Amino acid sequence: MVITSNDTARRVSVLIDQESGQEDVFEAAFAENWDWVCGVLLHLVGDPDEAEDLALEVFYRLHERPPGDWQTLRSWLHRVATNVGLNALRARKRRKYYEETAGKIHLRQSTFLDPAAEVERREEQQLVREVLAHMKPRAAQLLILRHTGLSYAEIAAALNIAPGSVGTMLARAEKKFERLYRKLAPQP
Amino acid sequence: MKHISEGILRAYFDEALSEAEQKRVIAHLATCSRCAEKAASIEARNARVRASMAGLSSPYLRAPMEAQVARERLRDYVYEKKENTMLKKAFSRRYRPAWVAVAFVLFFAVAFSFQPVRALAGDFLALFRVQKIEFVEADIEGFDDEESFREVADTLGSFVEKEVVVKSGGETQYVDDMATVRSLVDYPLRFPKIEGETHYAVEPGGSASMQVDIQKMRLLLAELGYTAFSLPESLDGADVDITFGTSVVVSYGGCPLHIEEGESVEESDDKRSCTVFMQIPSPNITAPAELDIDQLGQAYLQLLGMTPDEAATFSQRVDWTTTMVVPIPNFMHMDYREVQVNGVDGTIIIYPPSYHSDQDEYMLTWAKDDIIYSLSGVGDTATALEIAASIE
Repeated sequence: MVITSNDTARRVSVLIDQESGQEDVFEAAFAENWDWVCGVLLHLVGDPDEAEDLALEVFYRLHERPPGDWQTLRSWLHRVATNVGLNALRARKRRKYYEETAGKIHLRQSTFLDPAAEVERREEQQLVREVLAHMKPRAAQLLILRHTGLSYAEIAAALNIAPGSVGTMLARAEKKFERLYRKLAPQP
Repeated sequence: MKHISEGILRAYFDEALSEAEQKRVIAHLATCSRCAEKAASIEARNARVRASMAGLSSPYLRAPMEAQVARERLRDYVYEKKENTMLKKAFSRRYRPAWVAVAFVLFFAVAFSFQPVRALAGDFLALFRVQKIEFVEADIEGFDDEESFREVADTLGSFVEKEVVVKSGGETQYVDDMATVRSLVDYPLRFPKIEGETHYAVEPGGSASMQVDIQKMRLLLAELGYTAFSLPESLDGADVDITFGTSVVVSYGGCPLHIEEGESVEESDDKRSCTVFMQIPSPNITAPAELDIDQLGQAYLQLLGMTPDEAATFSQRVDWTTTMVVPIPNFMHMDYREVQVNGVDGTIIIYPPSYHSDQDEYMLTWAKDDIIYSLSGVGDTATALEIAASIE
């Protein structure tokens, strides 16, 4: 990637102009987006404490290295949040999280109407997360963003891909998801 | 008859097509059983995956903490993270020279995937002498951010720790005057003219050698996510050796130099005047003969994310025996370009302003007369080149 010195100068001056308003912009961004970012991460990792820690990481990155154009904030947040969440899932994979917790799901609350169904549901969740952790990051991100409800245009913006490719990439990602799901599912 | 692609079919089920395209799809599916079948299978798969993904939500989990409370938590979080700022890492022992170590290990991980080794002890060639450094943007899946990169660096780091025998010529010597430095080093030293507190660190040379253990290599590549490289058995046991001479690191201005892991750094304005200049004699690498260097180089580039075509094009203009190609992960948002420095081609990397510095930071690198130079500090290209011009 080659840039001319003019680009650097322009970028630096924009940042300096924004300096005084930068903190205000950040505060507003934080207040407006904290909840839904937590939501995305909670959906992804399933643990409220972990989701909050990961959300802090996302906003730390926003604070340190904001996107050049604040108009793209939502896209940026979607991308970084799914990234951070997937990294966490992958770290679990490395720490053999699943081997350790397999078969050890116990329910703290005894008030479930159908405890067996709840256990099964949680095992399924664990499997899905494991599949996501095993997929290539880009493909996993695509799936997550789509199933969070983003349109093709929004997905394209978040991941910096051509809108026309979303369909093809999604189809491929879903195929991969199924293949991995079958492979990782516990044998009967 | 022209059939409908999978991508379009998929988009159709997400209602992401234009009205015209939608009509075309419906019309075609009515008459083409092959596509209708494909469409049905895509729709079914979509439904299954959607169900799996939807199953991730749990109604029993508590809501996240309030934004106001979280904002306070973020302050603590930022403070803790500040202790590991980019600038500090760049100067700390562990990451200096950061990219060289990664580049070398990756390079040699690939090196032995081609050509059988001629098992004649001593029949090695001094194959590489770095005369030029070239940076290339690395676009590797999984390297999207600092976190995953750190994980890879850790994986590589522990591999190197276990597999590479490093012999050091001694302890680092910290010196404050130029005359003493010159007496400690056996090649002509050069220095820029910079005002300010000056400290020298003389790092004795040494060697790094490794005997290839094929199994461990394969495990490493697998852990890094590369499954496409097959390593022939004959490479097992090959010897690789890197020797490097004494290097000198000079700091000008207030620089946090002797930072050990875990030590905290005080934020000070002095960082603005901190400039670091390094000179490192080009390492000498010996490796088994019969290596197809060009093929190696292209494989390396592909590891960094280039397509085979891009790798071939890039490789055409690179002399692999004299050029060290260093990867820059694309998440680091660094800009770089070629510049002329000291009469040779060099590269300058600019890191944009961040929390601890409202100016660009630069790293200027070039190789001349078998010595690799690096100049880093706060400022823009013009500043960097001005300082470099004063070197003698």
